[in-house]
Amino acid sequence: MKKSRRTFLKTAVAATLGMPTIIQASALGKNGAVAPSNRLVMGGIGIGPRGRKVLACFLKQPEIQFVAIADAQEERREIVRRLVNREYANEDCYKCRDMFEILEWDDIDIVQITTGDRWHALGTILASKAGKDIYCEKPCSMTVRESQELADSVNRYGRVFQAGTQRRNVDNFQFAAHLAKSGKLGNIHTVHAGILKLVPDLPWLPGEPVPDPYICDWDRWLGPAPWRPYNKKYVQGRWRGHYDFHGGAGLPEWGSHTIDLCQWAAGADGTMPVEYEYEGDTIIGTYESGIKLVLRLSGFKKEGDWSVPGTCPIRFEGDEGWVEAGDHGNVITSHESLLEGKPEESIYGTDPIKHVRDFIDCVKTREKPAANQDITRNGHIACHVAAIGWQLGRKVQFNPITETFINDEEANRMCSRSRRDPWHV
Amino acid sequence: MVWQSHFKLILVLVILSCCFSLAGAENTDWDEATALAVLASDTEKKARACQALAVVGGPESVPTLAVLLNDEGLASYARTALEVIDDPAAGAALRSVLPNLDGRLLTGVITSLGVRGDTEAVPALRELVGNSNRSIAGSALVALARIGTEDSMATVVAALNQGPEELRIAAAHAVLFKAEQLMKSGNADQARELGQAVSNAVLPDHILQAASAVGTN
Repeated sequence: MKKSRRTFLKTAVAATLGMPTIIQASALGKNGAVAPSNRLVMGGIGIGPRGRKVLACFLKQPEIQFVAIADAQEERREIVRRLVNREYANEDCYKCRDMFEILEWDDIDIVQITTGDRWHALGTILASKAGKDIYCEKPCSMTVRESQELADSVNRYGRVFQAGTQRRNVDNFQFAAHLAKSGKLGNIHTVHAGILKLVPDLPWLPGEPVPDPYICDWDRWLGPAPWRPYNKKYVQGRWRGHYDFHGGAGLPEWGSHTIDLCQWAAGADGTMPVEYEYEGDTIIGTYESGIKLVLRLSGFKKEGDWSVPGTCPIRFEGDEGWVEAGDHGNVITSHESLLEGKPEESIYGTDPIKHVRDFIDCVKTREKPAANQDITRNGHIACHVAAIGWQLGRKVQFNPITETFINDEEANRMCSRSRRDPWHV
Repeated sequence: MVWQSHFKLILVLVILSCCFSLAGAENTDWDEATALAVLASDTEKKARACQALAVVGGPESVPTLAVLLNDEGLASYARTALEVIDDPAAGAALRSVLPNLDGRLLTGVITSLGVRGDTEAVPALRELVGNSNRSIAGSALVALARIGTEDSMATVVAALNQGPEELRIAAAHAVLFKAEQLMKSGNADQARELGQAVSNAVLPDHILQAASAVGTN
């Protein structure tokens, strides 16, 4: 039986707290605030440090009413509950361990999914099946198959989805991509994406006693990932670098941003490279159009005329010029004249404020936001395919129509992993 | 990580075999911490061996992997390999453990049979749709839809209109999944028929909306 949030708040929150729910004037649409009929009711699933930065952006939006947080860790639940209650000057935010409590409330409109990577695709699929619109932090998938399943599910249920690849909505990156697509750089022949050094797989951390599930629900934290002994460092963030928790050997960590931006600039949002070759610390992808996608495992280190303007650097090269952008907000071009129309200032590359706004606008119009499910599918598959070739240590060829490797059974077998029981889609 | 030689496959199987034989070894000098560390390490080695077999394993790996389907710590590693080994022995191994498993482990094997599209599993899965554990019944419905034969879909479509709401919803999701597959393969009429079947059932609005959209985009 589906639950109503109002029913829930009345019976659970008020009863638990033993106090009446005080509805703020602003929540009733007075004082220039958004009227209840226009409000978007929101829940959070897995909100840690990065998730709180995203949540802070949501809380600044007048339409948003955040009502509940589900997280496997009590400490994180409580931090979010207090943060939200302080923002609304009430005690209404509900916290729970089980995301299904949130997914079953039929008047919750949108969810923010900012768990670790292992939960992103499954959480998005479950949320879309429950009729929610979804903002999901990146990387959104662990495998090629999860990238497909995520997009298919969002499309099947007609949901609005925004991946947390916020640089699509950061001024200087947007300017660089528009410049590449404008023709002012001539014919684009090479797009460069900065990525972090890849990590094959770290040894398991030593087992420790499993905590009380109320404090940390290890089974729920693992979710669809395979079982392994508990160690508190995992839940504190040191899951990165572990194959079971960190998809694509870590390539999608930056790649989900930078490769995504390269796809955009190359006019390749609807596809992905057909081939990857590996030369030392460099991965070179080739699109069917002939455009090269160059990934550097160890960064660009100011080689040649590179300026590397901050983390997540990208560079788009045409036969008449080039443009670079990075998280510092700069735009650097081969010719001064290419800077015409450059934004006066840009938000920092990690700031999701405009990305969140784009998502909310699309929730209202039912249009697709900048980092929608289809763009995310292709950008993430581009990442995973590159990583699989790197893991295999050989050149790979990929068919972007069938989304399978060509004549490479081993690579195709690396496109999926089973989910730990009882999770399935 | 290059998995391309038969030598490596043999090495992996030897590691797995050693892991099993070590479990019976005696060593009275070990303290508890050491023993626990070794056990954890043992599990890690087995897990890594399964990961390798998911890439290079063939029919000769199936019996060893099948033993792990009853292991709560390693079952999902074994299933990853068994889902992708392109040999009927893998499907047979998964089917053979169905009567011996329950709860989550059974749910996992059911899911893997669906991922494999194992048509021979249909009779067993149809029975499991009637299981009193709704998680098991629901996963059987999903697996039947993934297998997607006329026979298996008849069971899933029938479930749209019977039983508790939770299972009717699971059936609806499964039918919509199959409808999407049919659309992708150019069978729009069949897809719309399935969408109509969902539309005719008593289900939450957002699912009915998804059903009404089948074949429109």
